[in-house]
Amino acid sequence: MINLFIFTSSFLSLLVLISGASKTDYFTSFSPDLPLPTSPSPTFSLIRDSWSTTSNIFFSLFYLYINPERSTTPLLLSSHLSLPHFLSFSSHHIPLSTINPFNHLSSLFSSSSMDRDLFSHIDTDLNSISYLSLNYDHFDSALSSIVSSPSAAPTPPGPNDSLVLRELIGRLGTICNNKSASVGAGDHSANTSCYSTPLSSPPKSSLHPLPNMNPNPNPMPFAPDPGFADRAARMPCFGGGPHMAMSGQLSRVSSSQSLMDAGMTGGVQLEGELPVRENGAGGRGANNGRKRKAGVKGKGKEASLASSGTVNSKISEEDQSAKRCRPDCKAGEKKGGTEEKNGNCSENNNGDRENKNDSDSNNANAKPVEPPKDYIHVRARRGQATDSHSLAERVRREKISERMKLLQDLVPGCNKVTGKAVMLDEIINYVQSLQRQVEFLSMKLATVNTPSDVNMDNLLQKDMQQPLYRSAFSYPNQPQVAPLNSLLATNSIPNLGMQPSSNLPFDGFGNANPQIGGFWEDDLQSVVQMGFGQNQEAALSSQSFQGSGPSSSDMKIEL
Amino acid sequence: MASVPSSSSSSPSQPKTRKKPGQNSSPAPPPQTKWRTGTQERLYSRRLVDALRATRDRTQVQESVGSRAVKEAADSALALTARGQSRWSRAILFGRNSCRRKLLVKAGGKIRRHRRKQHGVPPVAAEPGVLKEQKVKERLRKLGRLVPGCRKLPAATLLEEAADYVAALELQVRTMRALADALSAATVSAPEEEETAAVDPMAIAEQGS
Repeated sequence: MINLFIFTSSFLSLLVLISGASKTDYFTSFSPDLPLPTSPSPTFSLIRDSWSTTSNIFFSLFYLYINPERSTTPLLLSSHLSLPHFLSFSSHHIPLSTINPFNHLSSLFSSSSMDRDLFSHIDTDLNSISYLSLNYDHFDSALSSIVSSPSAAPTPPGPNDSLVLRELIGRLGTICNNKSASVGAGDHSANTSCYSTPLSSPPKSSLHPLPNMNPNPNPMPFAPDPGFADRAARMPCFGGGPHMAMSGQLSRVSSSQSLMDAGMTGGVQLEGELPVRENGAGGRGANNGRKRKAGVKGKGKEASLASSGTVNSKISEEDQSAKRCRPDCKAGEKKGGTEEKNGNCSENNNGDRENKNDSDSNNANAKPVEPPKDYIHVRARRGQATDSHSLAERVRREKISERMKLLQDLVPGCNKVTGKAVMLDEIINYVQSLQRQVEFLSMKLATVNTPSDVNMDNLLQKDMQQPLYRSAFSYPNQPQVAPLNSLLATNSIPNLGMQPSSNLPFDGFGNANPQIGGFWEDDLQSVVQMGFGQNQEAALSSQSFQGSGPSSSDMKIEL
Repeated sequence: MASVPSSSSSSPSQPKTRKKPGQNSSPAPPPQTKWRTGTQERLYSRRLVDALRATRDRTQVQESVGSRAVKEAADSALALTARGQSRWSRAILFGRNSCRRKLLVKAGGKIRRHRRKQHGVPPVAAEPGVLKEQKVKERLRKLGRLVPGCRKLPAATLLEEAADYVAALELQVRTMRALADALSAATVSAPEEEETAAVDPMAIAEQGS
């Protein structure tokens, strides 16, 4: 006994030292004796221990009432460890009022993040505690939960304790069921509710609307395994972000349950759900499909999935609809979505979780109707990942292919070519050739430019602006220009008309150009000399810039 | 080039229904129809003529007209015709107005004349899929270098700009060729014209009525 007291007192002192500053404040203020080392005389130690334990307990109660949610690891541990003292002294001295808070203690203890080192210390006391817990009804809920928490630790308890643990776990289930009404009332409901949720109905858990799950930055301990399993089981929809976290948590839960060798239905259900989820994800991947903006194929996909299994379909539908909305949101955000859009997306997300049918119908209705805003509804195709990232990638790729097609129409001779690289090669060659032509023509213009100033004004202006047969009237002052106009009209139009319809390979275009120009010049000179200019121009004036100008051979004949 | 540009001879005015710069996606007219209308040609030709005249006037005093000046004038005229709606046109216009060097020096950045080949050569690719990607990326980069002001654009925008630029270049080539030929014809046949100058206007008038 004395050894036990010394041990506990030393442990308490250790705890005090380990605990944070905020907590030690209270400790030191209320129990100045604690930091002291083990006392020399046993009687004095006994007295001190008793006083320390009582003070601890009362202080812990006080602390709990003040800050129920704070993690009070050392407090609880100390209080729990002092329990043997209590029980050893006399149970009668303990007022009943102290027993009730142990429910709180248990819940807190379960919710707080446990230090594994402390668990190892607790293991040694497990036997005593478990034995004691079996005797005391009031302590059952508290102690069983406490026991279950260390049992869930990665270091599995010894084989002797397994039976005890199983008993306790079973009791825990029953206790929680019994206490669901009493406990869940006005307590630290967040934590006790997880206990109060009926463990026997996990199949419904997946279909429950998702409670406000805060992705805990501190990973939930294995302590509230039934509650945690329940909560985990309630998470039907794997988002892109929390997906990994949830899967990790689920795996942990399953492993811990396997450790505990629990016969709980919750564990079985979870394991059943895990492969279901995987199938859902895999099924989606295995299906073949096309991404499109209409909702017909997607509906067919949902129907096919629904046929495979209710749970599977529901999960997949949820995921699918969630994913549907996510790329919408993402696309909307990309396009500078307004708040309405985001509200729309969030609404859709919530609606998905609650009423899948409604969300499907909404989405289906939204798809054929082009939103007035500027974003694109994107639906994942069959057989392709529904990750929001990949969907955005696909949108981007489609945009690029669209533009490539546009370029293909522009660049001559690219219809046969397939493949981005070769197409780009062709485009680059074409652009380079065009630029070279421009350079060449600019050189030519430079040489032609200097001699006459006046011609420049009227040359092309009049050609382009007015029908050519009127050009003569517009130049009263410059009669010599009029025939030039006619000449140039004849000269220019065939060039303009020829360009679009010519099939000359652009490799030799630069070379062919001066020849053709020279050819026309010669012809036109002869025309002028013959005086057939006006005839030609009249004939040619009708062929302005329509692009379907006569071929070179026709021009020859005309001339 | 199978597409036929819309006829524009009947429209005396030059209505320019241009898309706003904000709309970048589907509402934008494809570059073919945009650049092949007669209005564009008229506009461009007019601008080109003005630019050439200005160039000639400017350089006549000093020296012979440089071909580069002509080219720049032509490019600026083309960019003006594009009305600054495309990236390359803005790049051309702003590149001409203020010397690029001054801008860059002011900004504090280095002027990189040549693109180092070391950067351009990619390392050995692991799979053929990666190889193709690299080829495509290389070509996209090359295209970005060709199109003015489009060096660091993403692929989609780059392709759009390239399409616009290609159409504009075609227009430019057409117009310049016509102009050059006209000018050359004019200069060549100028001395012979004067003889028949009196006759032709009358003949033309008769033909027109």
